[in-house]
Amino acid sequence: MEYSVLATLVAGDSYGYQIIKDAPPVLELTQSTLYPILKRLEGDGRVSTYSEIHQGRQRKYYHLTATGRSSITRFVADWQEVQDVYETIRRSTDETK
Amino acid sequence: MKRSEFTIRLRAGLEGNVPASEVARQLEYYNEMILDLMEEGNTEEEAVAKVGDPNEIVFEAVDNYSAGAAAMPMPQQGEGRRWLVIMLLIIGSPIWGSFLIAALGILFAAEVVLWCIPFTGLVTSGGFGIGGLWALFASFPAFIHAPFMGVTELGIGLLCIGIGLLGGWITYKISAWFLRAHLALMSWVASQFRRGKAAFN
Repeated sequence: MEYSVLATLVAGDSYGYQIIKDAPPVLELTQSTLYPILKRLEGDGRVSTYSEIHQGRQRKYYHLTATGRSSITRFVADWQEVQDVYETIRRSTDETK
Repeated sequence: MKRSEFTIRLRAGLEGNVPASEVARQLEYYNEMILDLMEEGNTEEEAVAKVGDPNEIVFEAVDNYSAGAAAMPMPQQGEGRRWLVIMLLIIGSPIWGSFLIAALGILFAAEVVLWCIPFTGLVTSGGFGIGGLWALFASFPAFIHAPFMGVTELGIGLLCIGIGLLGGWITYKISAWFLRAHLALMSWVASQFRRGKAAFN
């Protein structure tokens, strides 16, 4: 879920509500589930924040940092290994049938 | 629910459970969410409803905060500080040692109080059982000597064995409760040490 949130920021900086709209619907991301994710991402330096005035009020924007970008790259690279493990498990269940 | 009411309920729930900075951060986050939802064409009530129940948000926030605090790495103690702590522990042993002995005494007393009921039950049922068996065996020579005495002895013996078995069964059943109470007490004592260790670090 973290990486899906990070992925929404690849195209450009965004704000909380827009991130929910841009995230894959299958994740069923809500306001309350997004908050701890954004906090964690900000805490470990994968996103940074800044505020801008929007229609007379402050709106917090999230920016993907270089650390965040490289973490997505690593996640994508690791995914191949996950798929290999999945294939091994799938083959083992096929053999037992 | 209006945004103002949502904010009041969220603030009231969070305050005292998470740090003030976190309260401000969450209020800002949810306030922004509600305003964005309203900007999308939702009414104030609809926007607040979509954000969720403030009580659930509070529970989740407190859970997340507790989990985060527990997962925080403990700072490493330097070698010098460790020796200082050891020295302080030795010097302060007359004070904390007395408290420790008193605490152990209280704990022992609590355990004695806890287990005295099942222990009494065990001894009583054991006494009835052994006495009953004794009377059972003694009933045979008594029967030879005087039949009415033998029959009475046999009846009393069987009665005592029955009481002993019933008492043993009741003791066995209630022992489970006392065991649970004992485990809860031990778990509470262990949690005090864990909490103390976390505070010490």
